[in-house]
Parts: sequence; structure tokens; C-alpha cells
Amino acid sequence: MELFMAIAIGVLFAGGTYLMLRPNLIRVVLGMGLYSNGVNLLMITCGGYDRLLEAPFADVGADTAALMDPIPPDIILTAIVISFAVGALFLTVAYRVYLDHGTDNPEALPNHEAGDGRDESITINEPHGPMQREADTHGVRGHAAHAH
Amino acid sequence: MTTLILPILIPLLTAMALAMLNGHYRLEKTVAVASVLGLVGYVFWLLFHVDANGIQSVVLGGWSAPFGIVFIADRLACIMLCLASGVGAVALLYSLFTVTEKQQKYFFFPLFNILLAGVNWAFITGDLFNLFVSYEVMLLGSYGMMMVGASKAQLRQTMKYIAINVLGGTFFVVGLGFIYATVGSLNMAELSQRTAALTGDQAKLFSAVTTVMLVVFALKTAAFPLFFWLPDSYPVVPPGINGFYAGLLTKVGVYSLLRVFVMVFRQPGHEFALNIILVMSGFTMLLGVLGAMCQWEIRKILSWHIISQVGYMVMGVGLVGVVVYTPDGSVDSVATEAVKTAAIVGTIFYIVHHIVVKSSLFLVGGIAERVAGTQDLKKMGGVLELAPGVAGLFLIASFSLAGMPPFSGFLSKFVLIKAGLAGGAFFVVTVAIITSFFTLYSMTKIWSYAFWRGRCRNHAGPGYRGMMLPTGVLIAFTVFMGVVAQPFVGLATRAAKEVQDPTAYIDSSFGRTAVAGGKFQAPNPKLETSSNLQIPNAELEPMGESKIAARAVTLIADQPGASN
Repeated sequence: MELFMAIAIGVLFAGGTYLMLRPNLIRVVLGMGLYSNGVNLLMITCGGYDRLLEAPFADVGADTAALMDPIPPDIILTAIVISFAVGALFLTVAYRVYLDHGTDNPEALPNHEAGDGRDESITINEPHGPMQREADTHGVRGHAAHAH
Repeated sequence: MTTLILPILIPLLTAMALAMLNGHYRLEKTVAVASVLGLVGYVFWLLFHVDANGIQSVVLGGWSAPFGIVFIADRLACIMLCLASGVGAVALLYSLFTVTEKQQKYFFFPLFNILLAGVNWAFITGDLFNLFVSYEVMLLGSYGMMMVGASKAQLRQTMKYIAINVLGGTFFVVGLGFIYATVGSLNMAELSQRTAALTGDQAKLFSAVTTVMLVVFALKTAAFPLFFWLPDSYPVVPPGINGFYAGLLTKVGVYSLLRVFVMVFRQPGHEFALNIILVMSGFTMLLGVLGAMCQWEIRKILSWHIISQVGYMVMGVGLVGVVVYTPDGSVDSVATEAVKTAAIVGTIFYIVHHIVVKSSLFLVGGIAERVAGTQDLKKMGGVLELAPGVAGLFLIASFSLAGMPPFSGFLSKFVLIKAGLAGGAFFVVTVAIITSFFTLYSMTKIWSYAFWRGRCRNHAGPGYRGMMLPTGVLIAFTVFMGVVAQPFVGLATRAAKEVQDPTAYIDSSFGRTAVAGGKFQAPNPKLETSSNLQIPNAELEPMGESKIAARAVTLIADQPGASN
């Protein structure tokens, strides 16, 4: 059983990695989905998966050795909820990026553009390029403005 | 102590209330400020309470200790809570002056509170899985916060930030699975006990498993080689809040490294991971500052400096794994323990210093941007002339960052470098000192371009004076911490002792008052639980433990060449 699980987890991770490296946002999101499924399988395996064991309800009674360890399913449940929420958000953002930039290729997105990270509450109402005039009136060299 | 849940509950409830108040701009601001000030009051009371009365803990959900979710506040956690809430309050007060109605419509204040709840949660939890959940809550808050306003750049950077952090979260769960499979618990106190008892091949297996967690925390910390995501994403965060990001988010990673790799993972040979951390720290410091030196925007320079500064804290964590030898080649255990204590003290002290100074630098950078109307160094100039007070604040903060006396940066670097010299880690110490010179150079660049040059506009931008007050509080704190260092070092030393010897932490986590040779004692009947439901854990526990131990043994026995 563990060998089968190991192969399944390996396939899911390999597929996820392949998809994440594709130049396409939707595939990246899908790759994340495969990853989270692979992780959940891994968690089941780590908890000692054995289908002969009973579900761990508090009222089952004395024979706790016949019960499954409840913690891994707990963790998986939480991880599923979280990966669903983050996946939904990620999909939304990916779609918005596509709408705004007209491409869904993350490598075609610019890393940095002029005006990135500008403080939105600043309104600039002075004429453009005040630096040079200021520099001239005060007799200060403004050449550094053009330095690279 | 049931009120331990408040640092999470207050921001979460506030976030819900504020989400419903969306559109009432003034009311939203009032509620947010009132709530965060209440939170600050509570966590500072908690710090003094814990410092006087010892570690406090609460077990949620009616399950007793290793199964229920434990929230536990030792001195280190309390220090971090105070910093998170304090810097959070400052960032919030600051952003009252910068937030636009458009940003408020995008749930600026609720998202900030979710972020704060996640950060507090990460500091106070006593369970590794809960740490994962808190990371996710914090990250969801930070995704939202980064997108407030939904400009093109914000969306683009947030998408990358989400992708890298989802990957980190995936590996977090992988690491948790491996840890659970080898040791059979995720409760930090119980893990700490069990890892200390590991021997032989099991200890080696566990050391290998911990490297997965190392990757996760290094990614969150932005340590070399996993820092590439930070400098692009932090500059798009709204001003004010980016001070909070800069101060707290990567430090959650440093805190996790310190908590988990020093206190929880105590198997023989745990120095293995710490040595990797030490090597990473040298690269982190140097590459971070080199990255900063070639940038031309204030926020980008400061973002690169976060990476560089994180290197110092990570160096402190790595120094914990240093072993000191006597001249005849045997291990000098007294000196090794002394170096360990000094390294943890240095790390804690540096975290406090860094959170305050880094946040204040981002805040001052934001004010300078407001005054000059741009954050591009090539276009800025004359902030000294336009707003001398702002220049003064920047000067103090940047001197403190570079490590000039008498500010807190000098002392925190001094403690760390002393620990490094005592531990014989001369190479990393050299890198640390060189880095601090480069830091000074890079700060000089901002100073001479943005502040000292001729004026770039006739009048300072409007409304920057109000922003100076919350920033000034942080700057005053770094001066105070440098001049009156003794109480802070004392507190850091007491916190470090708790981390180094987790006996008190374990006892408190299990609701016991005394420990006898690491054996389980009957739980304290006065154990505080939030409901009356009691599951007989005595029956569940042996099942889990024996089965897992048996599995771990078979796993090791299957390896070719296994001796034990």
C-alpha cells in the first residue's frame, strides 16, 4: 500500500511541478491544486493508513487499538479548506492579472514599471520636472537627476 | 489563563465588525484605532504578568494538552506580541493620514486586522500545525493588503507572492507529515520532549526531516537562497502598512526558526540544521546589502535591507549550533552553553531592535516620499530643507540600522558579534561587520540624494506632519533601547533561558507545575479548558505512540546498512 501511495504522491508532485513551470497562469493554479492533493495523500500515508481501522468516534468504546489515528485526517481537512480558499483567491487574482495586462504568461509580465509602488494618496499637481528649475534658481547642480 | 486568546480574538472580531462597517469611513477609523490600542494595552500587561508569574497557557476545545490546541505565552512570545501589536498600532495611526477612501472601500482596515491576528497567532501558538494555520491566516491577510487599491503593479506582484507562499505552505504540510510520521506528535512541548529522547538512526532520520521545515521557514524569513520574492513585492504594499510588513512578516519566520530549531528540535545532531542556517546567514547579509546598493528607489533599497538585516538574526539562530572545543580537542560544554545563551539573547535583542528600526525607516521613507512627491532617488532632493524634522528622524533610524552607538543597533550587533567570536565563527562575523559598513554606505546614498540635494519642489507635500508623530514614537524607542539597554538585555536573557531549557515551557503546556525526570504526571485538575468535554487521553495516547514508534523502527530497519 505504501508503495502505491508513494508512486501516487510522486506523480502528483511531478505533475504539479510541470504545470507550475508552464508559462500560463491557469496551469500554475492547477499545479498548486495537484500539489495540495499530493500533500494530502502524503499526510494520510504518514499517519499510518490502514483501512481495517475504525473511524475514531469518542463513543466507540474500549478497543482504541482498532481506531484510526484521528490527527492526520484532521490536518488534511484543515489543509483542504485552506488550499481551497487560497486556490480560489489565486484564480481570481490570475484572472484579474490577465484582464489588466492582456496576457496570462507570467514571464511576459514586466518586473518593474515606472510608477510601481507609488503612494496613492499623493497627488502631484506641480508641473513636470521641477527639479531642474529648482536646481537652476538655487545654483545647485542637478545633473544627478540624469545619472544612471 | 483563558484571556490568552484575546490577542487573536480582538483583531479577528474587529475585522468582522469593520467589514460590516465598510463605507462609514470615519467610524471605521475610530473602531480600528480603539481596538488596536486595547490590544496594545492587553499584550503589554501580559508581558509584565508573564515576566512576573511565569509562563501562561490555555488549552482550547476541551481536549487535554498534547491533543488540544495549546496557546502558550512565554517571555519570548510576549515580547513578540508586544512588538507586533505596538508596531501594528503605529502603522495604523500612520495610515490614518495616508489611507484613501478608495483603499478603505477595498477593506483596508479589516485586512489589516486579519494580518495582525495571524501574526499574533503565530507567536502564541504551541502547536506546529497551528503554526501552519496561523501562517495561512497571516498570508491571506497579507495577500489582500497587498492588493488594496488593485493597481496593475499590485496585482502582478501579489500573484507572484501568492504563488511562492502557496508553495511554502505545501512544503510546510509535507514537513509536518514527516515529523508526525517519525516522532508522532505536533505539539511543540511534546515534540521537544520526544526529540530530545531520540537516539541513533532515528535522530539522524529526524535531522533529515527537519530540513524540510528549514526550507519553509527560510522562505518565510527571506533568507538566502530564498529571498528573491521580497524586494519586488514589498514596495507595492500601501504606505504605513509596509512598515508593518517590513518589521513583522519576515520576523515571524525568524521567530519560527528560533522557536522550532532551537527549542523544539533537540535531537542529537540538531546542530546539522543550525550549521546550514549559519552558512545561509552569511550569504543573506552580504547579498541583501549588495542588492540594496544598486537600487534607486527608497522602498526598494529598504526592502533589500530587510533581507540583509534578516541575515543577522538568522546568524544568531545559527550560532546556537556552534560547538566550542578545548585546546586538547574535547568539547567544552560550559563554553558551548554560554555561546548558546549569548546567541539566543543576541537574536532576541536584534529582533526587537530590527522590528522597531526597520518599521520606522519605512515610515520615514513614506513621509519623505510625501514631502518630495516621489520615491525615486534620482528625482528627489531637498527634504532636509523642506522638512528638517523628517530628516532628523531618518538620520537616527539609519544610524541605528547601520549599528552606530548609542542607538539600539550598536548594542544588538555587539551582542551577536561577541557571541560569534566566542563561538569561533570568525568568517561570519567578518561578513557581518563588512555588511554593516555597506549598510551605512547605502543609507548615505539615500541621505545625500533625497535629503541633502537641492530642493525638488517649492513646497513640501501636504499633511506629512501628522505622520511624524507615530513614527517618532518608534524612533524614540530605538534611542531609549540603546541608552537604557539593561532592562531589555535582562528581559532578553530571561526569555533566552526559557528557550534554551524548555522544561518550564513543557510543564506549562501540559498544565503541570513540576516535572519529574521527563515522565508524564497527572494533569493538573485545575487545568483551564474552554468547555467541560473531556476525552480520556490516557487511552488514545499509547495507541498513537506505539504505532508510530513501531513504524519508525521498521522504516529505519528497512534501510540498507542500518545498524541500530
